[in-house]
Amino acid sequence: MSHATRGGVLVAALELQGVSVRRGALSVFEGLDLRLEAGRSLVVFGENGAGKSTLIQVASGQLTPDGGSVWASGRRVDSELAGRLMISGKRMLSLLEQPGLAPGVSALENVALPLRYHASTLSLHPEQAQGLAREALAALGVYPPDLHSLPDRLSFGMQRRVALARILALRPDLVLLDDPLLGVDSESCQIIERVLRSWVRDPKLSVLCATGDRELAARLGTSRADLAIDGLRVDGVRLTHQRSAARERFETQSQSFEAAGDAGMLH
Amino acid sequence: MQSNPPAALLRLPPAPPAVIRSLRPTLPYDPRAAAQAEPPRGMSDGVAWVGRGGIHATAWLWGVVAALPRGIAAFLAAEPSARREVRRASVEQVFLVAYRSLPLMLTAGALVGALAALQARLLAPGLDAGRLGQVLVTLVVRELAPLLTAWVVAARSGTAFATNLGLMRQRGEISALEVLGISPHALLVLPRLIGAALGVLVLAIYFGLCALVGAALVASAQSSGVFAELVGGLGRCLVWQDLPLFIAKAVGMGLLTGLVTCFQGLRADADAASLPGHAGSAVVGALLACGVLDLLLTGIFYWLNPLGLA
Repeated sequence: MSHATRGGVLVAALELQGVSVRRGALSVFEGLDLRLEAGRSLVVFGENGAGKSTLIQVASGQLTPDGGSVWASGRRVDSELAGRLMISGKRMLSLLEQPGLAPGVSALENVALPLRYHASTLSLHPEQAQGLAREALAALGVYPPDLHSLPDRLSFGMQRRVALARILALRPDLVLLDDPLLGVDSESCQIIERVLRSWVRDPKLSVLCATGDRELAARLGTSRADLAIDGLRVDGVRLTHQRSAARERFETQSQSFEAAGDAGMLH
Repeated sequence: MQSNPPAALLRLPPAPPAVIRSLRPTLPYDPRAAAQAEPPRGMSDGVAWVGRGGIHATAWLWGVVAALPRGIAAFLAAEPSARREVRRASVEQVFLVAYRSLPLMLTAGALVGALAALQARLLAPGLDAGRLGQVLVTLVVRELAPLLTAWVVAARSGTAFATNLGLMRQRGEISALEVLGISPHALLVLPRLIGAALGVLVLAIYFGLCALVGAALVASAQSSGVFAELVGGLGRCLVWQDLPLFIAKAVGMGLLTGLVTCFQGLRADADAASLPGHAGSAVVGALLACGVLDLLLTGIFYWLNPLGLA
């Protein structure tokens, strides 16, 4: 696949320009810039509350930023962009914090439905969907009887694997992952990491993965950025201003403790 | 192993000015703030209150009305395989809406027809069967069949729509569909709208037929040999405009029910406790909207066709 260009300049797979996000009175990001070139991968590490999920929500169009803009393949990101890109042959797919599986149908059907829905774009016959769904689930270690189980009967880790299988089956060009190893056991970790490694090594594919695992980038063999309290850092150098909710939460908590201490409530 | 030069990935933006903001925690509902909030006192406060209400009502109405063109646009923009899935889901919804409420509507129709005939004969003992047929056309065919059917569908299927979509929103299923390139408006909302519209139409036909049968049974029990006279009365009172009126009312109210309940369901926030409230207000909104549409269409009918009153 040749990467898209505009005026001879390579169009970034994903670009966040001066993104600001506030949660009520708290600021999660201020002027966050991030550019992910096509075919490149980046693992963003952050502690709890650093804004990893918010970053993926903004990048996938599930959260409209309070300021700045987000672009994917040269198009402005909104909640319907993934569908529009799919029709034009670009597959931007995301794994969010919640697996979001349909509870009334089996794991297999959860993977087969998007395949049937996009069968025309993927040049598939709808009847091939079940077979491809089985292959994707097998790649993530989901076999019978789990294949035919309802999602509520599956463990959280297994649900995450099914959700990843939906992405794998659709053969993505850009993948946004919100903590793919969250709540999974060591065996599941190895299986998921095998899939992530294959994506990271694929020169046609761009991956942005937010994680709380400090060593994941090294294990996958890709670049790492740290989403810290005072900004987004790469190799210890602060590259962009960011004011995290974590610091404000800490400060608010300290104030509350002080107030409570003044009132004689803490002894 | 792929090596990405980090500096090429991240660009240094110009440093923004220092951000100074209040550290006061913000809760979804702060009782202290609510207690401190002053009620509207002066005229300007009242005007502002009315203005805010008007803005909210307009936004709500716009959201409800826009759901239909949004669903149709998403359907038309979708790939052929996606349209096939939407059609399959629509057939399923028509079946679910009509099937769920069918026994109730058949029973309710027969009871309403029988009671209408009984009350009409009690109020006007001299009422002949032909005139009773006219009463039934006016009361049942033009009003009660579409309206009561829409209300039953709003109460049963409407609650299911709002709760189901609200739960899907809370469980992250809607977001999961969107990030997989699947339009929730095409796959979830449009089939429910079609299901509600066609479901109300089918159920209203059954309701009307059962009501006429119930009325005929009561009339026959009171005096023999009136069945043919009753049918004759029905035939004399029915005009051709009754057909488009019936279809417009049934389809319109079904659509409204679907629009209001789906819209309210999709508005559900992450708070699980808010879901019953959303479902409740969805059903109340649908009932009111159906009543208003019924009144509007009846007014238009009698304005265009004054003889329909005869």
